[in-house]
Amino acid sequence: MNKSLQQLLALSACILGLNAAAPAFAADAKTALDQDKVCTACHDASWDKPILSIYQTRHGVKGDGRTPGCQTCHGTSENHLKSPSNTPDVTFTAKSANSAEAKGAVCLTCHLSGARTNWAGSKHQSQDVSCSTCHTVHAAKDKVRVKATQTEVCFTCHKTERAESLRMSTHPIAAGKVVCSDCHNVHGSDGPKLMLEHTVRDTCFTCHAEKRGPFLWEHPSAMDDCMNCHTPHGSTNAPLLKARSPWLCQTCHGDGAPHPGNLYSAGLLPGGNAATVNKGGTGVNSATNPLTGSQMSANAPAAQLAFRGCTNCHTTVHGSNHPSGQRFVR
Amino acid sequence: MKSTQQSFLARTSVIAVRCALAAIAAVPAAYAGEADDALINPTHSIEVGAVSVDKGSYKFGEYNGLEKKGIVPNGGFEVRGGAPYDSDSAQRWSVEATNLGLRTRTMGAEFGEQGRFRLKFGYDEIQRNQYDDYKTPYSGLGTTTLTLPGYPVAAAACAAAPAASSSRCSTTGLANWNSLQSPYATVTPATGATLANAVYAGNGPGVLIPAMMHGGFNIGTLRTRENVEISTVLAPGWSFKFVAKHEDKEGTKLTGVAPGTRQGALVPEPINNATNQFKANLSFVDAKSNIDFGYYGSFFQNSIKSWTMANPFAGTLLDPVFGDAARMVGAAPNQMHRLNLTGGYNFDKTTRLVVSGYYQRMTQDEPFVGPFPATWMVPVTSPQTKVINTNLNATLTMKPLKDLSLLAQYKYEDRDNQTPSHTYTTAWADGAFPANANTFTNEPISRKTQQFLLEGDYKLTPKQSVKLGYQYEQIERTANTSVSQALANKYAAQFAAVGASNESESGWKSDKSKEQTLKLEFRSRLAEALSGRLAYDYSQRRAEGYSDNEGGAPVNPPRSGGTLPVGATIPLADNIYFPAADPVLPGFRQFYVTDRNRDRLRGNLNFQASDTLALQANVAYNKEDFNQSTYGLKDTKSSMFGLDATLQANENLAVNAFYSLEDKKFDYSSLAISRVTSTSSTINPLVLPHVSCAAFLSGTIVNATYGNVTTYPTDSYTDPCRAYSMSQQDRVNTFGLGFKAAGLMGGKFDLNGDLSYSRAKSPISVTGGAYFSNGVTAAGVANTVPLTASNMPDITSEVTTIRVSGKYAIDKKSSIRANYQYSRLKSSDWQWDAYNSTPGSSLSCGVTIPAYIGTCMSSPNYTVNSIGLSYIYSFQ
Repeated sequence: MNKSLQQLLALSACILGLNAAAPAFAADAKTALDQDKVCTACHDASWDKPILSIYQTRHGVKGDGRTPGCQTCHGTSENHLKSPSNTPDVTFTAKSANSAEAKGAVCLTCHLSGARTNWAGSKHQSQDVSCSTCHTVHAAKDKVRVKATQTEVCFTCHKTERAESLRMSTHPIAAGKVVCSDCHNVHGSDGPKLMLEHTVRDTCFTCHAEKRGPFLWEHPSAMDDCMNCHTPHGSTNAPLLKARSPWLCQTCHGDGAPHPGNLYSAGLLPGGNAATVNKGGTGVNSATNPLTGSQMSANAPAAQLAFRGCTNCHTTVHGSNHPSGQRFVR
Repeated sequence: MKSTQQSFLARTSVIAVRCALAAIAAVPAAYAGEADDALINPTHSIEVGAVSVDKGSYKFGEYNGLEKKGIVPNGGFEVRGGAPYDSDSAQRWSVEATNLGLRTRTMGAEFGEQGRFRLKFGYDEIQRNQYDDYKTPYSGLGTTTLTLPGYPVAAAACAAAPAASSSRCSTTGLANWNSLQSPYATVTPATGATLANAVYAGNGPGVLIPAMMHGGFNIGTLRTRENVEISTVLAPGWSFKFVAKHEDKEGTKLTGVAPGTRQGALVPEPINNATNQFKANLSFVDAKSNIDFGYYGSFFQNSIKSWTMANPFAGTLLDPVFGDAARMVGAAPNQMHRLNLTGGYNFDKTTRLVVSGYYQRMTQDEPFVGPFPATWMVPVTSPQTKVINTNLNATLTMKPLKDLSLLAQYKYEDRDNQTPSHTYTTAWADGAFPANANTFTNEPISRKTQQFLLEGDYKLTPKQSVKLGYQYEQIERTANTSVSQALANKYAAQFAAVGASNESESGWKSDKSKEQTLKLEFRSRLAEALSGRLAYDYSQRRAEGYSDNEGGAPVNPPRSGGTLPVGATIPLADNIYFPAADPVLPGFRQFYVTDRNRDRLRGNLNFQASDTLALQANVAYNKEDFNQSTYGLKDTKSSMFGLDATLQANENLAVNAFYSLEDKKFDYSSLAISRVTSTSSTINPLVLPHVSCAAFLSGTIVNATYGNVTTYPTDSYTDPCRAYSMSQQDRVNTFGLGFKAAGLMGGKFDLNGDLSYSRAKSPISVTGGAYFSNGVTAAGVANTVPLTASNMPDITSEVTTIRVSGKYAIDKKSSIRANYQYSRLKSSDWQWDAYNSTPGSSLSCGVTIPAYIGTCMSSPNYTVNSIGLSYIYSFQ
């Protein structure tokens, strides 16, 4: 166990000590379960949906006086009790007659604070997405709250992101290591695109803290928005770049001489017309490399095209704290 | 619907129900029956097994920990306990772990009394395999000191090298790596002109390093994360939550290093850093309001202060203080502290106001890693960077009418960079001084954003809604140029004498931008089984005070202690290197701060074809038009079309399929200006035929030698032979098919499977042309030729994955899970492949770029089969 882990555990113990005086929400489990019997008498183990497995979840801890019963969420449903062909007052299925707003209101009775503070007016709320669109509260494990299965739920609607996640350059989404909720607060956010933090940059820095700076020499486009150069869900250009270097860099730096503004085309690949312009056959006398026997070119294939493009040399493009780092080479 | 439900529905007698209700108290509770244990009580499980991989592939195992061929034991467990659900106690605990045999393992534990406190612990490993085909002549890989092997080349390496290299091994006295470049320094063509640039530092080592000298090294990192979360209820409505996260990141990443001048090598940079994050929140909530006060701290530490790479290039490139090794620095430690306050208040059932804000302080003050050459002028010992962020958000939502929802939102963010500004005189890339001296002043940049959004959503009918929105965003960008401007002002007279502006340019090209967006959305349930959504946004961004480039030759002070055109001597410390010291292209605009019109269209259609079959179609279209950019990024377009089908054949069988096509493209145009302006010259007598730019542009003559003095433009900015355009495209087809079958073989067997296939093609087309040197420097002859541009080879990738997973229940407690995965990647990428020569050649590494040492790497390809087999023991 490393030192930091020990420190974390020690800190945890201290904070737990604060809890000694905390109140418990006293409950009478038997009474609560007796109330549930109104429903579970019929909706028993033979029911297709795993209704009773809610008792494995936090919604089923009857020792907590705040825990809802069946009728807390579904309403007293007197008509349903009179005749099972009548639907309960509130149902949460996709075909439910209850509006998304009505369904959501049931959950928000208890869950309005915390991460759901900004639910009202959020993108999902305004698109008629309700809690039950994504959550399955009766299941022992809610798919969307398990990292390994979360994307299955989100990709049901977010098709572009699903396709992008299957490309060569991605976050470890398929491995379940970085999933939607690591970057997004789907319940509403101060930030753009339901970002977990207030800005895209602050969200990225939760995992990429070394790029936070602040730097002595800042790269304005990187300081402005990570998404100026990157695309988060998947790309054909590693590492998650919107386009290939050097052209990606040229979209801002293509105005300068010498090499930022040069024309880069296949002519500067090995064997290209620019790379071989002074080799034999064009009328210019060429020198011969005495070792390889090949004719030499004064125009070497461009290093700016190869490998990492511009970052072959300008390696600290997110910013530099080196006294000579103004051009991000240090 | 299953028979159990039908039978239930059949019992629709009110009397029967009432009888049943009356009997409830008399019969054992349904939730307590033995048969229900699996539902109402948690099931513990222990899984033990192994995964077999038939081929090692770093890319396949990039994130999943299966990069090695062979069998890896694997397993996991989940145990949950505590008071049963029907207890008056709310204490529960759980311990779980997955992938214990792999470098992707996770572990977690939780203990708490619901409604009182909860303690969570988590451990996670994230592996990132980056490259396993990297090769390099360097030693000390993975450490902070990268050195080159000594010379002469080891006999074994020489013996295996071809004749050309072997001869170098044995004869010509390769006393050190610099000597590798000597062939280029001695060449003179047999007749006529000499070759320009035939002798220059860095022109060679990659060409001559025998492949035998290249060793392999795997590039990658491993992150290990631990986190602790404690939440506790302090009093009814009041709660406190503390989260601590610690992450260690170790390994290497591939980093380009330029020692002294424009040349370099890609080498493994050692990574060994740690990030600690702490969050503490005190919250209150009641029926009408909630408030949250929090602290968030982030602390990044790096054990790698600096690392060095021996200089492989000839010449006195580096300042002697660096000992002929480029000195790189690791990412500097930084700190962030944030205090945030969020509150929400419900004025009534439909009116809610949420206000949040934070104050954030970010600093980085790690001492510079010296020693530096005595000639450098570094005024402070650390960068002393400090940025203060303040943020305020207010959102008001209301429903003034039954069918009308309104949202008004204001956002403010101010990034105030308070880093002191100083002037630094150093050498570029640790280069020799004063030959590579540069004087720069850091100009801390700040950014202030204000955004206002108003949206209204109106239900036209119970099944149709329309939403209108308007958003205004203003971004102000400022920079502290006081120090650099004061320096420039000292030479105002000299600047004026040559008609040049001495106004210091900041990193921002535009001071302010305003963007207005109109939003329109229509949602409809066209029929019981058909619903759809169509949304369109139009944005117009206008930049104010854009600092357009001015044409003409550079007139700023020379770079190293020289004199202004009017003769004033400039001390080195005042030798300002303005961004415009090189010629720049008028009309060029940076895309993210210039004018832009943007159209965005989104649509989807959902069709419930039957009780079991659902179909969905999606379209998306984006267009960005940078209408004020004569040069630079001109426009971007992207479109996406997708089809999905889901068949829920019955409760136990679901099948889904999807297809999507995404097409992205951006267009860019520019003029290839250069330091070498187009000047009059005489016809190169050695080069025939001589043609004009017009003929070159007509397409009748390509890759011609330019020698017609009468049509040779003298102005780079209007020379049509320098014009070019480029478009880069991504066209990606993705297809998927999946199924889930449960309850097979009498309810004992569950089977899932899916196939995904993604094919990406990225053509990059380049039209137009530019001048290139033909290497001739004989007096009185032209040495530039216009060459037509040509398209890059397509970058392609195909990713295919087939997964099948089955779980067979032997009995109530035992089951077997089997997984099979077929993964195939086929890719072609000239950015690696074009720089890797014929396999088997001993000169295979870096033969193509004299100024940059190659890596021998190629685009990744793999076909891997993996099988997992495990035994699961479940108990309660």
